[in-house]
Amino acid sequence: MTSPILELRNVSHSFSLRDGLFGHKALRAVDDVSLALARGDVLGVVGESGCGKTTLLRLMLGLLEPSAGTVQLDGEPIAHQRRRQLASRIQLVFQDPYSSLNPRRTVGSIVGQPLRVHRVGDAARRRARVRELLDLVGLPARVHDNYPGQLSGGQRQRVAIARALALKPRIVVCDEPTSALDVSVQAQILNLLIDLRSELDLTYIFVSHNLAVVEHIATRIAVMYLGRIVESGPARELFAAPKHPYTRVLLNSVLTPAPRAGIPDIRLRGAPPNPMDVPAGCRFHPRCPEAIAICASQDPEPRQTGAICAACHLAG
Amino acid sequence: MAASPLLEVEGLFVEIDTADGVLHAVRGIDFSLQAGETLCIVGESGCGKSLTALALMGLLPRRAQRRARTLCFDGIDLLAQSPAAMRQLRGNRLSMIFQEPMTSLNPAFTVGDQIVDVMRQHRKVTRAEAHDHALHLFERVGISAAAARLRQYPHELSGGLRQRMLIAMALMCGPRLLLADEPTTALDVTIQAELLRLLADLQKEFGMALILITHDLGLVSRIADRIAVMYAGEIVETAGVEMLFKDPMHPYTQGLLECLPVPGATPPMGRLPSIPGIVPSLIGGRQGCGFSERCRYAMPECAQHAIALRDAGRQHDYRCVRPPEQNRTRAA
Repeated sequence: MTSPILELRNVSHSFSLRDGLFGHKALRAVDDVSLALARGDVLGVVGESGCGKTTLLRLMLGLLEPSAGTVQLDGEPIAHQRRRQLASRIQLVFQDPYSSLNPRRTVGSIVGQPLRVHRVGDAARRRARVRELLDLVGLPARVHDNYPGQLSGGQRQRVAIARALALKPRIVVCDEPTSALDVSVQAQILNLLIDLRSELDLTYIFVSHNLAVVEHIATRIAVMYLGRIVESGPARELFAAPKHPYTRVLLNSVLTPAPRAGIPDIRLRGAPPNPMDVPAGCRFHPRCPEAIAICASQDPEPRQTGAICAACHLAG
Repeated sequence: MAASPLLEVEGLFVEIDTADGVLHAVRGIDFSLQAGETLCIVGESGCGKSLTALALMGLLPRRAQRRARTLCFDGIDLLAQSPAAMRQLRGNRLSMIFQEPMTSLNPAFTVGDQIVDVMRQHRKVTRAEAHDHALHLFERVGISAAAARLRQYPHELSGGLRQRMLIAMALMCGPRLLLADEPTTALDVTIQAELLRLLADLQKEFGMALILITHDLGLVSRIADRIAVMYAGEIVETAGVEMLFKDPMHPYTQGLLECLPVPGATPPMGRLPSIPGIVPSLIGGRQGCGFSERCRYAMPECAQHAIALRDAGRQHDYRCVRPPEQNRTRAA
C-alpha cells in the first residue's frame, strides 16, 4: 500500500462536562480510533447519533486537538501544519445548505471567499477561477450574482461544494451532504460527487445515516459505536458479510423498497446508550442480540478476519 | 367497497396569502380511507403533503385558507365544525403526531401532566385513572421505567423516547384515525425501525386507520396499503402498494423510484438517474401538468389544460395525458 493520505493513530478525544456543582466528568467522544485512508478512497462513516462521528470529523479537519494519538495528513501530523496549509488540503461540505451559506453574500462572493482569504492570484484570476468552479459543479454562470435565497436546495449544495473545492483540496469531508435534500436532488448531488472524485482525484470522508447512500458511494466503511470503530473494511465485503452484530443491526434497519415486506425486527435490546456511562466489557453488549457471558466482562480487541476488522468476541 | 369510508376528502384546496401573491399549496385533491387502512402520502418538500394533514386537523396556519367540497370523517362533516368542536375531536377520535417531537411538547410541564391532560380533556376520568392509563400505554410503546418517565420533563428524554411518548399521547383516547407527519425522519435508523414496527402493531391492536406522510419510499413500501404520490399540490398517482412499486404510471413516480440507490441492485459509484429541473413555483395560477417542465415525455398539450385522472385499472389512477400502455413501457 502506498503511504496513506490521512491516518489516525490511536486517536482519542474527551470532552469535560460538568457533573454536579463542582465535579467534572470526561466524555470520551472518540476512543482509541485508528484508521488509514489511501488516495481515492471514499470512507463511509456510519453510526447512530452521539456515536462520535462529528467529533471524529472535527479531529480530521484539525478543528479539535486529539487528547491522545496523532492525526497525520500526507504523512505529517496536522498539529504541525499551519491552519492555512491545512485548509488547502482538507475541506468540508456541511449537511444543511440552508444554514452553511451566508444569505447576504452572492454566490460568486461565497465561492471566491477562500481564494480571497488565501490571497490566490489577483482579482481577475480569482473571478476566472470562480467561474470555473461554478461550471465544475454544474451551476450556470448566471447564478454568480444570485443570493443563496434565490437558489434551490440542490443548487445551494452545489455552491457549498464549489466553495469546498476552491483551494483544490485533496480530501473533502462530506457531513450528511444529501440528507437535507429531496430524493430526486440527492441523486444529482451523489452523481456530482462521484464525477468530481474521478475528475479531480479526490478522497472523500462521507458521513451519512442513510446506509443505502453510503453503500452506493463508499469504497471503505467504518462503523462507529460509542466512540469506537467497531467494524471497518472494504465496503463491498463489509456489506456482503458484516462481522459485527451492530453492523448487522444497522444494515437490517435499512428500509429498502419491498412492498408488504413489513418493518424488519432488528432485535436490538434496551435503550440507546448513554455516552457518559459506557458499559463495561463490550460497549455494545447490553443491546446486542447475540451477546454471551464474556461480552459483559471483557472488552473485545479489534480482530482482522480477511479484509475486515471487527471488535467482537464472536467475529471470525 | 361495502362500508362507507372513514375519511372522505373531495376537492381539497389550501391557499396561502404571501407577499408575492396567493400560493396554491394544495390544488383540489381527492382521497378516501377505510377504517383500519394505512394510506401513505409521499412527495418531496413543498408538495403540499403536510398542509393536507393540517387541513384535515383544522390546524392550518392563520394565513392559510382551506376549502373543499367534502371533508367527512367518521360521519362528521369537518367543514361544518366550530373550532370548539374541532378541539373535541382532536386528540380524541382524530390524532396526529409530528416530525419533531421536541416542538410538539410543552417544555414547562412534565410529560405525565401533558399526557394526563389529553385524556381529561376528552373523557370523564379522574387524574389517577388517566395516570394509570398513561402508565399502561407507556409500557405498551416500550418506554421502560414508565412511572419515573412520567415525572420527567421533555428535555430529559431522548428523541426516540419523546416520539414514543407522543405516540402514547396520541393513543390515549383510542383514535379512529392517526395522522403521522414524518414521524421518524429526525431519528436514527435503528430507532426508526423499532418505532415503525410499534406503530404498525398498535394500528392493528387499536383498529385505527393511519395516514403516514413521508418522503421515504422505502418506508412507504413496507407499511402502506395504499399510496398517494403528491407533486406541486396535486395527487399525481394513487395505487395499492404492490401496484405502485411494480407498475408506476406517472412519470414523476417512475423518476422518484429510479433515483433511489438500492443496495445490491444499483452498481456502486454508478450514475443514478435523477429528475432534472426544480419544483415549479406554486404562486399564482397554473395550467396543465405541474410536472411538465421536468417530464421526459412532456408534449405541448401537457402545459395547456388541466390533466384528468386516468384509470389504469385495479384502483390505480394517475394524472397524465399518456395512456397506460405508453407509460408502462418505461415501468421499472
